[in-house]
Amino acid sequence: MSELHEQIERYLTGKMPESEHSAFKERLKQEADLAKEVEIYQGIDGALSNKNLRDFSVMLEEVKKEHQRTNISVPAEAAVDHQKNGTFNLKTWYAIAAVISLMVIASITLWPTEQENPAQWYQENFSPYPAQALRNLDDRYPDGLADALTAYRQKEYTQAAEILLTWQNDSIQGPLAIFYRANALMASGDVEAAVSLWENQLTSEETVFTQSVQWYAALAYLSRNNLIEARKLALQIVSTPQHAYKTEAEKLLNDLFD
Amino acid sequence: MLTEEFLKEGLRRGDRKVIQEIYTLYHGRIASWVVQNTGSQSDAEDVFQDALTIIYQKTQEQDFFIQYKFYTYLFSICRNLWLKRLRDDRLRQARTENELVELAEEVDHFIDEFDVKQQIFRRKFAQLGKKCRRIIELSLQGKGLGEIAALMALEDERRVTKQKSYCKQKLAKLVKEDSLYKELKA
Repeated sequence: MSELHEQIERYLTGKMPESEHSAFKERLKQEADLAKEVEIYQGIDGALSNKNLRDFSVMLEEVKKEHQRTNISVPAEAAVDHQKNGTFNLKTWYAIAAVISLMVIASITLWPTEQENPAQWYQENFSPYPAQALRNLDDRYPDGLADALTAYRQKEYTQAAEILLTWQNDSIQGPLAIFYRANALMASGDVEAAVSLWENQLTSEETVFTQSVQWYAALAYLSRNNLIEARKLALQIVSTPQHAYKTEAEKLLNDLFD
Repeated sequence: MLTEEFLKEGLRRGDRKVIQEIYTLYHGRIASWVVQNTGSQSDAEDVFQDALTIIYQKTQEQDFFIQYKFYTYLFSICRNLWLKRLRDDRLRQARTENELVELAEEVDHFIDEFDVKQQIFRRKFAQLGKKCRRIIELSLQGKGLGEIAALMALEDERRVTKQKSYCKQKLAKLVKEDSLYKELKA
């Protein structure tokens, strides 16, 4: 962090000693660029104070990105004509035909060839999130949660999933509990229950281990034969620079979709 | 089923699936209009998002309901937002001649109430990575450094401070680079 930004933070949070505070205020009067910078920092907390609007903006941004990826807007002319006439005309039918053709092509290209088996690929490539990552963190967790994580480490996945269930709605530990519970469920064979947890995590603001969530969700989809979602996530992983699961996702795409 | 009520009520609830429908149905038409009127694709994106935010914000108020067709309403807001930014009186004049004056006035009023500068901050916040959004989010919720460190699996409080400052700097940079923000500050 630059010295200047450190100063701005201290100035705005009232953590500046009196002498430094006066000198900084004096600088603000004389340096227009500095004043602008401070104004932006002041604006951050104010603009983001409304949680509903903050969440709504994040959702809009995500929907925008999804929309840009899929780019399936109703063509402008077709939509206008539909509204004017109250019925579908030829242009609209062309648009619908184009979308259906694209869907058919997509389903053909997405469908793995006969010798490739997604469920088998899942069995060969799934292993629960490594438990070693938890070792140094035990003292940070409350007792009950620590017990669950110990069970997880000892590969007692059913027991771990059961205890973690009681932590899922915890306002602080919830996201972590969900992450390990979904892993434990997959390890104990209840992938269907895990899928709904991963789906929740993929859209949640409270997600922990974002990159791992994407990978394990892709695997869960694969196991349930939901190849469209599995491929979508694998493509997202591959297109993210330095993604922790890039190699695995590339392998998945090569083995099952190329 | 796609009905007027489905769209209006869904947007009021901030329902993701409904917003996706709105994007699919109307984004292309509105973006085309903005681009035809000297805007860029990126201007069109901003206008569309701002209009949805205005409607969302208004529908949170008790007793507010959209009296017009959803698309008519959405398009009016997008158009007025963009014309306001263009400050093109000729186009503004043509607009009021061709549509319901009552609707134009209502929409103009909402746009005047809307804090564009704050919206830029929110839009840029939404463009940050998940990690940055989360650390700012937790800090806005009043969580202490220690708690944030535990929640985000960061080594210690110093790391949290460093990460938080980095994210705020990144956000400030995005805001400063925004063309509308520059216009507003000029």
